[in-house]
Amino acid sequence: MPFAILNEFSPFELTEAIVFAFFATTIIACALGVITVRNPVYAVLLLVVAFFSSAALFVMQGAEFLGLLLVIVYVGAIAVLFLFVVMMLDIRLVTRAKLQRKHLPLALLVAGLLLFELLAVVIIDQPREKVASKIVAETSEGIIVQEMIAKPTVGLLKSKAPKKIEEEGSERAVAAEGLLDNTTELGLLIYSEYLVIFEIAGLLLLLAMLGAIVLTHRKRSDVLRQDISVQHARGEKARLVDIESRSGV
Amino acid sequence: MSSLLSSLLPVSLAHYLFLSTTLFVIGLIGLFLNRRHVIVILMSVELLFLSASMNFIAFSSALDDLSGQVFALFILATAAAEVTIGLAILVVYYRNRASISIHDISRLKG
Repeated sequence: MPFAILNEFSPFELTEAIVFAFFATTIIACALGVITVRNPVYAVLLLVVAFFSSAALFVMQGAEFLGLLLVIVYVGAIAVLFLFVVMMLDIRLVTRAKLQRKHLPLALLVAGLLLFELLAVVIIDQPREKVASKIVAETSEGIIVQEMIAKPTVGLLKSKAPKKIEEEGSERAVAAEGLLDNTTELGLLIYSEYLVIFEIAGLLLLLAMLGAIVLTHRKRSDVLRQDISVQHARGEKARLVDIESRSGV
Repeated sequence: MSSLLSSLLPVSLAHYLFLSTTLFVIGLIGLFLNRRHVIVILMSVELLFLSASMNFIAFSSALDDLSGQVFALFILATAAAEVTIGLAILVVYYRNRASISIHDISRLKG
């Protein structure tokens, strides 16, 4: 029976695996769609779906604040900005067939090299992690340490898992968990340790906003505008006139 | 089958790393494939940013250290600034040239 191995895992782990597989597949499929679909509007919409799914994965990993931020900032602001630009500019559909043939070998070469390198790092690093967890488990007092290092899932879903850790009486783990939620902890960290960088990031956003306004702003000659300095400089010619009611100027 | 399941099952750091690596490579291929479509290039760059922040969050979650999430936040801010300026430049360029083809942009050289 090939599915007998499923009994080794808790329902929580099975659910987590299914949810992860679903969202990961969605992300990959949508990302492939973004780079291959001809119509840029569809590409933007697929990008939105990809970001939405990764927001779900972020929440699954315990980064609730960032997941929601991704939805608000990306889906709410950046994707809409993309859509505005895509629809405002009259984009003729570039003939894609020629382009793909021309650059595909180079793209596959670079991408394959990069994929190999990155995956090699991940795969080679795997056994070392397991060894480390065993060593820690041997030298320290209990199962808890081994558990936490071998399956490093923290955050939202962990609180729904069977409360093994609390039963074992690891006070630090309980204190680290549950008392503060993700947003509070992140806020404490941002406004203490990373305050300067955070302010610089805010400044960067302000500059980006100013830059976008300065770049796209233009003075149109066919539109009447109020010029306050000219109005103030009129001098004698400006006077108050008492106009009788219903008589017109 | 069972070995495949046992290698897949407890969702761990490696799974997220695989996912973000794949996403990064897809974004990279997108950069090459759409070398004439500035908007799709910008979207590919967004995919690269997403994969980077996914890495940060995966490690932050695995190491139980919130600094990774802080840096993912900074990535988000940088990506927002980048895309704002990029699209603004695109709009101005379209106003001047009535096209957004990369081929036309290369005439700005020298």
